[in-house]
Amino acid sequence: MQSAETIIEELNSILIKQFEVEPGHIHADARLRDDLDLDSLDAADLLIAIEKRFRVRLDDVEVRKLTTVGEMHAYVRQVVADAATGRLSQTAASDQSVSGS
Amino acid sequence: MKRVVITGMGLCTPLGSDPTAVYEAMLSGESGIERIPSFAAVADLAVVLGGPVRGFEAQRIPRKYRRSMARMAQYAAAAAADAVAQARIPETHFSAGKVAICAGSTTGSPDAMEEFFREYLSTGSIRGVSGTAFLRVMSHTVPAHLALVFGSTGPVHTAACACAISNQAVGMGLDLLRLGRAEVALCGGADELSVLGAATFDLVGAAVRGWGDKPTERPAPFDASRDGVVVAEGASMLVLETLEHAQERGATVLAEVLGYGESCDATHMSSPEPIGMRQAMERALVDAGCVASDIEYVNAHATGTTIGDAAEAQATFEVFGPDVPVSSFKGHFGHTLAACGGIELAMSILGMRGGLMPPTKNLRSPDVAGIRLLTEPLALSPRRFVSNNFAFGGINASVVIGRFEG
Repeated sequence: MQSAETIIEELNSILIKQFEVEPGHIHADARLRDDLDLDSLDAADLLIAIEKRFRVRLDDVEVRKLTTVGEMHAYVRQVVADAATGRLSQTAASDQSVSGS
Repeated sequence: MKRVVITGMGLCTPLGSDPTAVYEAMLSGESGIERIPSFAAVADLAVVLGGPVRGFEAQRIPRKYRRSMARMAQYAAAAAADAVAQARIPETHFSAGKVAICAGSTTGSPDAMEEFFREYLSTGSIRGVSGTAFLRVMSHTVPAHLALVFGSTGPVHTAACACAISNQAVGMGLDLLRLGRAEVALCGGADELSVLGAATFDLVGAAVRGWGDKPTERPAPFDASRDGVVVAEGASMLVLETLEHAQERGATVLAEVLGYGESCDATHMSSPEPIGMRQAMERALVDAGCVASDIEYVNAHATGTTIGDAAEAQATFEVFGPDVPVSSFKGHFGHTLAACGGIELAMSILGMRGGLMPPTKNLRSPDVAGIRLLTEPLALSPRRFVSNNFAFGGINASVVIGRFEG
């Protein structure tokens, strides 16, 4: 599972490389719309970029509620952690199934 | 009727973007054609040549605009910026709605289409498709982005008839200015090099196949060895304005747009008809208040196809007879599709002003009868010339340009 620091670094890298946000403008309290100038078109592409990078599925409704970089970091960390837990559970279930056959 | 003049020209071509440098490159016989590795990698595509725009600096367009712009719209924006700068159109003209934008592309961005369908067809879902995909695919992606970039609140019209787009855009702009619906019109077209374009001409047997070892020797309009089109990319944008408006603000007039004519063959989707071509030229002459003997040069559409070039030569002969000098610029640039008309107008205008008309590159053994084809630069400053563009669907569009004489 990726560390929190790695996830944050990669999210910030997406903002810098794909959305050309100045690195100095990225901090937890920075507002995605008002400070980083990311609008609804950017939000749609940001969602796709995150889903492809982390191989997760984000909740559109939850994503729309995110207003700051810090909130985005926290939300994605949670989704990535949940996905990893889910994969572990599936693996464990699969292992049990194999051992029980 | 209001007179309309050209006061700015901007280009983005396989031979560069500065119109004067491009013109000089043409006179030097340079070619924008090269082997395109991505074409060579497509199974069963026999086309390996293309005319790419080299060294384009997309970063000069702010991301806020660029994020939804395909290459074609980026090329158009760069060309438009140069044209507007040359014409010195005030920024306030755009916000005040005084500028009409008349432009187009053969289709929306083929790159964006590929991106959309690759994602959708491989997953069966639209999850993963960019929210900007449609903005790059839509048929008015070029003019809409020009309006966005310039903050232009005036009319936005889409010219959409493929290879005739630039000339059609000039015709649209001419009409709007004559009608008083705008004071300035930004007119042109843009396209991006794509497998779709190359394959389209290949599939109908109208593309140059092979020649990867001698790319600069194709295409060869009007030549006995001609064997088809070489697709290319680029953009051309011209600033048109009423003469009255140009004079009021002390603009430098480059040329006058005297008339426009168009027709449709209405006989075949891809096989051209001399009658239709002739009608477009004749209608343009009528619109310009000219007769054929007033025309001292014809810039041909001639793309290098066996049938198309012969049909155009016949039509040109029927209208202008044997003595008017004729050349095609496709041998230098390849076929830049929606952009070609504006590029050819710009180069012809520079030839007119400089007194030296470029010849047809790669024309060594003319095999069309009747017309006077240029194989070398000709010392000539035509008072009036005609520029032709023709497109699939039997679309024919001709423009008459005149030297500005006050």
